[in-house]
Amino acid sequence: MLIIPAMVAPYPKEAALPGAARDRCQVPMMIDTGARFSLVTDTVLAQLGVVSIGDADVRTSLQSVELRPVYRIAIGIEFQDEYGDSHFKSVPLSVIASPPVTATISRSIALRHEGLLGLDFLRHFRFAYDGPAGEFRISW
Amino acid sequence: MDTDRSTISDRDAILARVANESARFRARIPQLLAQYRGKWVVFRDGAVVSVHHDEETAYADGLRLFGPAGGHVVALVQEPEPVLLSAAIAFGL
Repeated sequence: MLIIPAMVAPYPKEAALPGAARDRCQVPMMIDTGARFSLVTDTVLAQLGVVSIGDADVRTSLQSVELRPVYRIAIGIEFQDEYGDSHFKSVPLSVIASPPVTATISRSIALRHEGLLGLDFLRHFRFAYDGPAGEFRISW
Repeated sequence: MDTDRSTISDRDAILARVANESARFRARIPQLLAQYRGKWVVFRDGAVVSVHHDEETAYADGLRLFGPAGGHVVALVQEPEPVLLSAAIAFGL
């Protein structure tokens, strides 16, 4: 399970309603290569003051399909290149709103994150997992 | 609601308007498919406002026309199909 800090923000800035609590949020998000689409929690989206642009039928389990709002926002991550220099790359993305998400690491450890980074986000980056070393690398 | 002067306190009302507009869009999909299949549209007040080849252009046009509080929908005209998010969500991982 891979959880990284991501910066989420209205896209563009003018898409936020005046008076929003935050103009950007750095939040923990789980990388999920099994997800076609990215998710961000309702809590974060409300803080940014953004408004949905529609909704999507989302299959949340084998039995149920729910209608969930869709938002267009910017999601960015910081990463280092092979020379150790830091870079920040942000991409516009249409994400599905979700209730608060908790990743269960074990029965006694639950780690809260604020959404999933799915393949729609990862396709903008090079993502490599080195299993023997237990390391991953993201670059652009 | 004056959409030009809307603030964060109007957000719930705007979200409700988008949800209603989205329901109207879904109801009109069978008719829209004949003319707009595979196109991105800005949809408001029960009608297509503008048509685009990609989501980004449609989104920008909706924002330009109506602002963030416009209550409009930006959507791809296609048969509705449930999105399978991920096992992580389906099984609460």
